[in-house]
Amino acid sequence: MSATFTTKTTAQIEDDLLGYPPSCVAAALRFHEDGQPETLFEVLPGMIEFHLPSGTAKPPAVLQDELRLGPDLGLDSLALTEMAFVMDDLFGIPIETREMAGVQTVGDLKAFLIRKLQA
Amino acid sequence: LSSRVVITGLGFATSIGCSRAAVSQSLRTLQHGLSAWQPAAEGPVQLGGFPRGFDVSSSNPAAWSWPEEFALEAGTCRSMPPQGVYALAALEQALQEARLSDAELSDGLTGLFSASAGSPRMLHHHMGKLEASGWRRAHPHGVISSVAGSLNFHLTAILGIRGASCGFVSACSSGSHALGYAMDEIRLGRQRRMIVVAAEDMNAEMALPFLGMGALSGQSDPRLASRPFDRGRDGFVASGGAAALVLESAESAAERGGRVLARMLGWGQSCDGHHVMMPHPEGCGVREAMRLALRDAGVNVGEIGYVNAHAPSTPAGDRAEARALHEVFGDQAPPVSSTKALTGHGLSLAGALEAAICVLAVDEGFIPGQAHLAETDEDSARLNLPRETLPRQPRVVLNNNSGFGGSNVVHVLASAES
Repeated sequence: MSATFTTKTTAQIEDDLLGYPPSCVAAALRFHEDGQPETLFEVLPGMIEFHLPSGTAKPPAVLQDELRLGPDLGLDSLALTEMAFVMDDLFGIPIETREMAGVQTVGDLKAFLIRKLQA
Repeated sequence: LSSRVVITGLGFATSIGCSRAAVSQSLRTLQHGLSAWQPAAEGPVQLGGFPRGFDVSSSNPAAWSWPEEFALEAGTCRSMPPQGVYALAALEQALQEARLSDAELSDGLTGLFSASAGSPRMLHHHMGKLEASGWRRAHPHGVISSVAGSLNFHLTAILGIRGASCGFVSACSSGSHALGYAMDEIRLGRQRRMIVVAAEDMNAEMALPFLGMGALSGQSDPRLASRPFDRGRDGFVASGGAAALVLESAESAAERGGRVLARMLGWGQSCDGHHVMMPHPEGCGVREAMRLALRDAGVNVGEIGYVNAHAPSTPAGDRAEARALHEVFGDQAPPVSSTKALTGHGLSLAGALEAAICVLAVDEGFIPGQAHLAETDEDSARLNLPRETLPRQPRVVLNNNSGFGGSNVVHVLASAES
C-alpha cells in the first residue's frame, strides 16, 4: 500500500510541522517513506494534540478507537478541518472537508484514512 | 448624548516600546523606534517601525515569538493575523491597567471596536497555496488570519465579548474612527465600556505597495527618513504594532474605582471630497474636522494646549495639515508635533496610537516635541513646533488623523481633573 505522496523534502516536512510534538514529526517522516497506515496512525496523537483548541487537556499517548473526537478529545470542527488540510498538503491524501462529516471517533478516523489511502 | 466618557486603560506594542513606561520615555527623550529591515531590504526602502521583541515575520505562526512578559498562548495565536499578536500584547496591558474583570468583559455592556487593514502577507501566502493546489485546497485559517476585520473575529471570541463589535477600515484614519464611534456607543447609552484596539502588520506586503504612489521615504538615516513638517521630508516610514484603549462612562469608572487617565470630550470627522489619494491642498477637510470636534467637545481653540498632528512626513500631507492648523488657530497656535517622527506611520494603527500618546501627555504632564525637525518650510514655519518635549501638562488636546479619500478624524481629549 502506498500513498500518493507529495514531493516535499524532509526539511519542508519539518518546517510544515514546526511546533508539533517531536514524536509526531518523526512518525510523519517515517510515513512519508513507508506509506503504511499503521505509521500514519502514529502521527495522529501528536497531530490531535497540536490542533486542539487552547485550554484543552492533552490527549492520551495511545488513542483508543472508541474515543470520540469531539466530546472525549476536545477537537472542534475547525481543528478537524485543519488536520484534514495538513494530511492533504503534507501527504497528498486528498480530503474534502465534507467527506469527514461522518467521522466521529478515533476508529472512524483510522478507517477513513485507510479508505483514502486505498483510493 | 449624555454620558461623560473617560479612558481608564492603555496598552502598547510599538516600535518605541511595548509598555506605557517605555513609550513615555521615548516621547520624553524623543528617541525614535525606527530600524533597518531584517533581513536587509534590497529595494529602495531601508527603514521600518517594528515592535520590539516580536518576530511574526513568518507565514507559519508556529515560528512566531514575542517578549516573555506577555502571557500569550501559541495555540490562540495560530489562527490570527500577525498583528493579532501585537493586539493581544497591547490588550493585556490595557485590561490590566483598567482592572476589568472577565465578568465585566462578558456582561454585554462591554464592546470592542478594532482597526486593521488585515494581513496582506497571510493573504498572499494562503492565496499562493490555494492557487498551487488548483484552487482545491483552502487552509481553514486562510480567511480569519488575513482579511480586514480579522482582529474583531478573534479578540471578541478570546475575551468573551458580548456587546458591540465592529472593525473599521478607513485607511490611515481607521484607528481614529474606531475610537470616535466607541465614544458614541457610550454616549448613546448602548454600552458602558468600550475597548478599542488598532493593530497593523508590518512587512513587505503591507508597506511596499506604498512605493507605487511615491509615499515612502528612501532615506536610511531615521532622523532624515521620518521628519514631519521638515522642508526636506520625502515620504513616510511604515510601522506596525498595536495600541489598545479602554473607554467607559464616568459613572462606570467611578463605580468600579477605576483610575481616570483622561477624559474624551468629543470628536469630529469630515471628508475632503477631493481626491482618492491626495489631501485637499488647503487642508479644508481636516480643518472642518477640527472645528466639528471642538464644537462637539464644547471647547474653544484657546483652550487647546497641544495638537498631535497626523503629519506623516509626506510633503502634500504635512503641508495641507499645516495650512489647516494655521487657519483654525491663527497666530495663537498651541504646541504641535507629529509623533510619527518617532513611531513611523502605523497606518490603521496611527489614530489610536496617537490618541493613547495624547492620554499619556495629559496624564503624565508633558508635551511631545517635534523630533527630527531641522528646517521648516513656509507653511510649517507658522506653527508652534517645539523641538524638545516640554515638561508641562496640556489640559485639552487635539488628535488629528487623515486617510485616503481625504477622510479626516479629530479627537478632543482632556486631563482627568481639568
